[in-house]
Amino acid sequence: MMPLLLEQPWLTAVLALSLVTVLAIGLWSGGRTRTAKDFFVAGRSVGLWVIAMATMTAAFSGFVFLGGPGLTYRIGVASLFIIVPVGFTSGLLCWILAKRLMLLADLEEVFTIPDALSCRFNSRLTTALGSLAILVGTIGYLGAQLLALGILFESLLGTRHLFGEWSLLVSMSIGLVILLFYSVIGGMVAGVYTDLVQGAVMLVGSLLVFGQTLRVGGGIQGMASSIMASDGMAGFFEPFGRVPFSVALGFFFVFGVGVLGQPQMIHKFLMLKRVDQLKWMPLVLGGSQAVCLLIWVGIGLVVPALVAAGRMAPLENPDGATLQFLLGFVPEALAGVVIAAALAAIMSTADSFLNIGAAVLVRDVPRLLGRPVRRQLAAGRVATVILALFAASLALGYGDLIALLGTFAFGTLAAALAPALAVGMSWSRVGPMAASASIATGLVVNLGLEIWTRVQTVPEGASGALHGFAIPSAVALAASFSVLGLVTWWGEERAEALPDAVREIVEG
Amino acid sequence: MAGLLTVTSLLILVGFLWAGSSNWLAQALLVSAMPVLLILLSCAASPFRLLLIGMTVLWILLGSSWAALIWLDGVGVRTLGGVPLVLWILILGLGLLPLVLVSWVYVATFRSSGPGPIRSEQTPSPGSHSESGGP
Repeated sequence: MMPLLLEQPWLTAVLALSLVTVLAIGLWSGGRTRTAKDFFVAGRSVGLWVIAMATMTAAFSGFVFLGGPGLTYRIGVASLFIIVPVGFTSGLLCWILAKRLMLLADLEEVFTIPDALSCRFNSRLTTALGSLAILVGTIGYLGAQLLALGILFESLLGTRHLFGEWSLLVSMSIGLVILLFYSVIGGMVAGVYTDLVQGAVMLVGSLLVFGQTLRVGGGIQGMASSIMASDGMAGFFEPFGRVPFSVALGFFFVFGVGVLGQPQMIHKFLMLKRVDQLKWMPLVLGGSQAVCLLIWVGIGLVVPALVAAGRMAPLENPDGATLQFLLGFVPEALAGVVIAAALAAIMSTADSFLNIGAAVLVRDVPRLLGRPVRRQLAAGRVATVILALFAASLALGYGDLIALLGTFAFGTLAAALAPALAVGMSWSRVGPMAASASIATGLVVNLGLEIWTRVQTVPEGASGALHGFAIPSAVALAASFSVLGLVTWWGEERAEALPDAVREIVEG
Repeated sequence: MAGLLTVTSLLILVGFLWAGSSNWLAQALLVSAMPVLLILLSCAASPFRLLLIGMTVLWILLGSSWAALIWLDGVGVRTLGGVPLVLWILILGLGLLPLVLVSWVYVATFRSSGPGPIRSEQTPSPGSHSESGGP
């Protein structure tokens, strides 16, 4: 089979332009990265639009472009319960965490989420558990992103034809070299500015391809009538699609509230220059997320409509929905923009996790062990490479394990960190014991239930993975919130134990 | 507010664990209340009427959208302007209207609803807390 890039020169040109831009930003920002503060929090000097774009691109991995539309094809409109919470999640982040984190960073050197936990709770155990949760989530997310990057490059370059069983290794290595180039040289300075470019590509790609889905499918009405007229698409427009009510509600709960535990998003607030820039953040962040998600809605509706109308063969693998639509119904250059957007989404999420994971290894763990690293900038660069190679090796060697970690990484971070961060930052009575119990509950319950559901019989009405993902994460998140509240109520901890400056920030 | 949040979390937990639970509306209302309670808790020290009204409207908006979806379950596909009603509710009721509402309330209450004044006006002496023995 001929490589996609040789068959479609316009697509190649657009992709090449986007990758060259990313590499150029890496080189430019390399000269601006002189300290650990530059490397981990971009010098705390970034503006509203850049941070909004960086948060959006870090939140949206390749799943939004490739997996989401495929999920809609599989389970109907129930997949939208994953994305509709963007209506309030940006406000939730800003109200509860953004300003408090920025003010904490004025008190102490807060470069990471474990730094913030340490500043708020002043407890080695809480910080260690928080670091562990972030490390587990990071490796899961990172492995899944690197695997997706390798598979996408494999399709584009046609490496399977040339390298056979070594194909994935070769294609993943190519992606890894590009990713490491800008994340190692430029750290978070490169990260946020490439996110700006990548975010712009994602927004333009989503808008254009949404327009194309309306044109090809005959508008929303045309797509809906094709789907409703087809027996093969039964259940697509049922309120909860083809999954049970509890799964739909679980999606809404985990992706709505669990966003408060996602370090790849929260970490970005530590880079903002001034607190007053937060005023427009919910609008800019939520608005850009909504525009970007048009691709999920558009392709998610048009592909089932085309299949229902007999204009596209039924999909053997639903994850191929986006690529099949792009290659069959979209002009070549536009397909290039959208594939570049998918690549951007994968790389920006991977880059965020590389930086967060490196920070845990270089800052948080050594400080917990009482041996802080002196040359954090150099160590951060080395840690970034080691982390990337470790996650890539795991992804290659244990694909199933990585897939498992990837699917439950969001839930793990949500259940472990959201209650301790969200409630802990808002309620001064929450002490280290409650925070540690909550983080441990989130980690153990989510991992335990995830494993348990995977060895059970597949429930009727949903695939095991789907059912397994939404419910365990929802249970773990609710359990973690409950434990935090109960331990705080029953505990002896008092708000007076907090330093005045911290209590002032928490209580407002 | 914190007590209400804890009770809500416990009830949500029971709802997800109890597979036989048929009270879908109650579960949906509880889950919709979580973001609202978290926001109100975070602004508990500075309760603004606008914030309170805004968050009540948000809860009603989310809760009524879930109620409509639950009502539509099993009654066949209803359409409005050729588009399934389910799609209208999901995109407008749970997505876009909350986005507009939340963004507007946040802007309108920005200076006083969050903790503390602007950073430059309130910078405690660096290291004042780190000396207290943090790791």
